[in-house]
Amino acid sequence: MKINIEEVKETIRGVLLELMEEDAVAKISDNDFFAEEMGIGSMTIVQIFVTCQEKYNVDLSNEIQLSEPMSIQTLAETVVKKAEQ
Amino acid sequence: MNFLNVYEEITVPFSERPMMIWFEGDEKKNCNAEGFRAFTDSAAAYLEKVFSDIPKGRWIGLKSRNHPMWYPVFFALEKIGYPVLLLDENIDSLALESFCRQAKLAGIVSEKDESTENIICCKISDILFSSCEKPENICWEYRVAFCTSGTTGNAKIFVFHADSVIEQSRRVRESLISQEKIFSEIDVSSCLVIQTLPQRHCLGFGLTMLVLPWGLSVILPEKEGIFSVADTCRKHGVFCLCTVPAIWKGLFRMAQARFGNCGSESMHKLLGEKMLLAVSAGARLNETLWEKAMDSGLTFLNGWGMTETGFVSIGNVSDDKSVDYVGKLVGGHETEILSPDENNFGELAVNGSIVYQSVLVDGEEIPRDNGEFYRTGDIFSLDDGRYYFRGRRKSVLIREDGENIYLDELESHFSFLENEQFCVFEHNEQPALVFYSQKDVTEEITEKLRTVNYSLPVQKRISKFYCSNIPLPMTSKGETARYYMSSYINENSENIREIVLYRQ
Repeated sequence: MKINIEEVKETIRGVLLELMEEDAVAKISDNDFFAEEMGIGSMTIVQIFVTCQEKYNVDLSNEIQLSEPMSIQTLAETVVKKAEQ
Repeated sequence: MNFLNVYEEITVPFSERPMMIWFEGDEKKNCNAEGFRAFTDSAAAYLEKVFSDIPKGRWIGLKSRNHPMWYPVFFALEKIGYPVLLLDENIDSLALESFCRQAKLAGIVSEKDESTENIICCKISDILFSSCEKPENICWEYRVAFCTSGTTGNAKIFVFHADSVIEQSRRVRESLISQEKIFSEIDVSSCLVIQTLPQRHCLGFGLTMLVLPWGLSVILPEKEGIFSVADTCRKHGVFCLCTVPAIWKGLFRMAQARFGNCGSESMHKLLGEKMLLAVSAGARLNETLWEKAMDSGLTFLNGWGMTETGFVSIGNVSDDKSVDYVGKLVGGHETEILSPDENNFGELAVNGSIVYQSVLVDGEEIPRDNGEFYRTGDIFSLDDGRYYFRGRRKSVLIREDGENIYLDELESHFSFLENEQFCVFEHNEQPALVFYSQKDVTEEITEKLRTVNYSLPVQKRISKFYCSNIPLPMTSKGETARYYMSSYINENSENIREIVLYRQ
């Protein structure tokens, strides 16, 4: 399935906007790491992954452990890559 | 008294109606008491065979995320004579090894194969697919054990007896009925409570043991994630949500984003018209959340307790003008405020039959001295039977998702810095680490910090690393002054720099 990376980023930002203040979301750049740089809590991170899994029908169960830093950009790239596999 | 008494208390109200409700894909499932007993018996018969070489009375671990069959598996183990140690499904191998050693674990029920030379493992999926009938040898156990957050090798395991579990459930129920008029206005026996808390945690376990004997059915969220918590409440007419401040914060924010505010009407649009009772526990409500709780239109309860003490106090946020108010005693505890200062603030100490009965240390079960009050490490004040939580004394950081972070335990992960003066401290409500070094920070050190940090669960990772070129402040006992460190960093910014681990 071909997915537009910008659409995935919008989806992620949509989740962030539901769970965080607008001002805080506006300050997040595509390359800021969720936990390490933005201090985003596990509840919000889990919801971002769950939403991406459901919407794009991809398995992110390994990535959700965040053994590597993850940003809007890197997560969107991962979703696109997995959807194309 | 043993867990048969608990088992009977929780099943009796559900002869005719659903006791547990859950979802498999789009399909809604449920079981009544008969179904619950059948699942329990089948699991007990299967586990009896798997653990046939393990003597009764030896501790068995239960390490699984929330699951509809979690409780039947728990009671199955108790029914065939094994006390159960409740384990976090996310702990790493080091913490698991430590818990196994402390409890001298003989077996474990887990989602994956975790057998070792000394531990027999039974995969939970194998139990679910078994179709056994009844166990042969029934000998109900009376003990259950909870772990405090085991970030490192310093596991702490507290044992409770069945009579204490029952007493706690009754006392909290009586306290709620006497304090809150909602319970005289509504027949709760037809209501639903959503379980979002980990069942293996004292709070999640305690909630289930509280509501089932009362006749409230337990429903699990349809899917993972906070959106599904709200959807499940709304779609299935949930009456009560008990959860941690982090989830309440997310729900208030969702109401704000979807409906423009998080007042009464919006919260009911989000969580459904039947949602009337809200409980926040596991961590402190901050002022913003407290204000939103007051405006939510829900009967909003806040309480205090800890793994070692069980539920100690509970009260309605609207009954008091202080954000620190955590209610009145639920009973079953005696309390003392130790060494109160001029404001009557002092450390809370508690005693009574609901406080833990023993600890597991190096395979030995050591009973608590019932004559001694347990020092909670939390600062309280008491006014006319009302308890006010004023802060923590111990070096524990409690996140708003209820996760306890033991700063000294986190330090032990970074022991490769032991030649330097270093400490982990609370900085902007997150754990941070600072060390003193007159040399440049090498790439090797940076990489080690990064590797160790990423080996920790995400919620326990260090948020900021600092290197100081001046010595760190010390206490009169010769320890690094953890409590002063956050302001020390801010006051000495020219000598202390942040180490950025993640990007050049």
